[in-house]
Amino acid sequence: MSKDSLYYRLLRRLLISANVAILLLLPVIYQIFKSYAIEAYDVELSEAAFSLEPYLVSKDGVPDFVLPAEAEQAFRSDSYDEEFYLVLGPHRHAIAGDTDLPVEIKENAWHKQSPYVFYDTEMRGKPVRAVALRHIMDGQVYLLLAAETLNKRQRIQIKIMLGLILPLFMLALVNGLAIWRGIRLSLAPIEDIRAALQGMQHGRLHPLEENAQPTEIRPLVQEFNALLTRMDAAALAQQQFVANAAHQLRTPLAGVRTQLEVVRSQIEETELQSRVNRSIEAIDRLNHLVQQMLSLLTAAPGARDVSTVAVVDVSEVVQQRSSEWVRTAALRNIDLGFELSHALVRGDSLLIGEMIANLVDNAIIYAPDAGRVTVRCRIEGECAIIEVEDNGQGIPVEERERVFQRFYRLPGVARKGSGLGLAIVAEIVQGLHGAVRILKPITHAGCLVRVSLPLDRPLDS
Amino acid sequence: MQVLLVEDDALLADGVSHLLRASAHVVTCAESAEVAAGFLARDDFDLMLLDIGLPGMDGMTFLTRLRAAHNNMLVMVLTARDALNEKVRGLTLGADDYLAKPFAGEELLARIQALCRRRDKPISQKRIHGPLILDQPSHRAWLSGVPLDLPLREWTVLDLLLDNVERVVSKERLVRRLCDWDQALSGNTIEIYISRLRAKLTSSGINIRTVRGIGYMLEAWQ
Repeated sequence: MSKDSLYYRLLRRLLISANVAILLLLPVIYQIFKSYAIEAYDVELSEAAFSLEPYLVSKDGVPDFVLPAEAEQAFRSDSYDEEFYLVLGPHRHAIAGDTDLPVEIKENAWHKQSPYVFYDTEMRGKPVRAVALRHIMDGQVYLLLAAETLNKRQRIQIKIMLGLILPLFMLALVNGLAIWRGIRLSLAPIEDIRAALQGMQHGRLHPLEENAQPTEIRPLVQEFNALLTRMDAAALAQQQFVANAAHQLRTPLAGVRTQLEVVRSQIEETELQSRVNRSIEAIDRLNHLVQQMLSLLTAAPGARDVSTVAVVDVSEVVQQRSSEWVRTAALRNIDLGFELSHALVRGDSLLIGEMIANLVDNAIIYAPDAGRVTVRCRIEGECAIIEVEDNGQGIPVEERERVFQRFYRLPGVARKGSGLGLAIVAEIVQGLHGAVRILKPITHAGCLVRVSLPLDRPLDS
Repeated sequence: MQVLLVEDDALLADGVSHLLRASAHVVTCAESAEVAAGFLARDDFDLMLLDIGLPGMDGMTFLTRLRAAHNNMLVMVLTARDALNEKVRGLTLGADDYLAKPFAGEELLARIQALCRRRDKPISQKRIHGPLILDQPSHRAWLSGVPLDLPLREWTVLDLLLDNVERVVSKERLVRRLCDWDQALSGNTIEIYISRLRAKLTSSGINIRTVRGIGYMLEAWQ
């Protein structure tokens, strides 16, 4: 998946932020759980200190602490930790117990409600947890201290940690899946629009449904629909322009041509007549050029109404226009033939006809006198193939790309056409999502132009 | 023939009316659809040559209104608009023929003649193509005044070709026309009839051109 995709970005950001939150949660939960566990062990330790109290007695004002062996054994027996005790007299002098237990109690540590003070220290090279219990006897303050190593405290911490990591990991996993699924579902409208747009090739442009879209996407769809409207307006304006330009250019040409014919009919002198004839031919060439340039404007993408697009049988288009080509070919005594099978494409039948007409025009121009021109159409694989072949000089391989440029002429070839025919063909073929290539006929010299257009496929298949 | 020319370009109107008058037509010129409507109300015309891009009401609107008013006079549209956009529309809106500007004078005259022939066909029932005359009711034919022997099938083929002078007629269309009597008929059989017709007609300069892959075209009489 691309790093630029919205889906990827959302997934990445949400996964990171959600899992960072879970990671931050881990120490907090751990601290809370740990404090509860430590508190429970502290209570236990304070009870141990309290259990020493009965053994501290006063004999005639002299304090005495005697711990029976069984009691001491009970005190010191613990599954995980070493237990220590210490009894201090009013002047902090040791009365009994492990005298090397450090006493680190600040005077202000004592709390009014509680006779206990807890502290951490180190004993015999090991960290220990200790508790001091204030005991008042004969008006004197005695301290009963109990301490233990940290084994079970550390053990419970590891247990808490392990116990937290697994569920939090599961949480992260479930969270991730929920995010992934949520994004997929939320972005589904975008996918729907993409699918709708993909189906709109071949000039099948139509507005998208606006109301069913989420509010974030609706403006995009509205903009797209507005763009379609603007494109339609632009196409209409273009058509209007072509129509007006055609009228403004051709009417004076027609006037001049007709007047020249009147002049020709009224003069006897052959030299003057030939001058008039050459002028009429120049008018015809100029008119052809106007037609070609208008065709280019018309063939440009978006210049024609979408409504002119339909399923077109290429062989029918060729048959319909064959008469005019046969007449032109007859003028040069060229044998114009056809090999036609049905081939359905989607497009504008007038533009397809114009494209083939330009190919046939060229073939008739460049075929030798009494030459041979053949127009073919058929289906080959997924394509409709249209071929126009002549037996003229052909086009050298290195020129085959350039001849599609506007006004390009082959070097060394007498000026005959307008230089726009193949440019029009290329433009129309591009509009139909097809391809055009210039080849050499297999059996003889000449030029073979092959156009392949995508076959029309019903949308549901 | 009475021709009403509706064209706003003075140079073209002048040239066309000259050419038409030289061919013995009577021409009235109108520079707009409104003026033409006035002429139509006063006089009878056989044919109207109508420009599309007129000032005021355009030619298409004028033609639509004319047809809506059940006026079925012959109308040939002169269009300077791009053929890609106007061709089909003009014909569907009720013009009998159209001619793209600029045009050759001979072409205009030939089209006018063809239009009138098409219209007059039910009255005269005689088809004339250069030296060839076909009389439909009596089923008799003459070539340069000499009676011509044309069996029914050859007659039918020629008849269809004469309906489509300068237009390619496909073999399938010829077969369909002949199948009215003959059930099993192939393209090869058509070739036989065509070659028989050629043997009879070519010497008089009537040419049936073979269009490789489609069919045949009867060339215009020069």
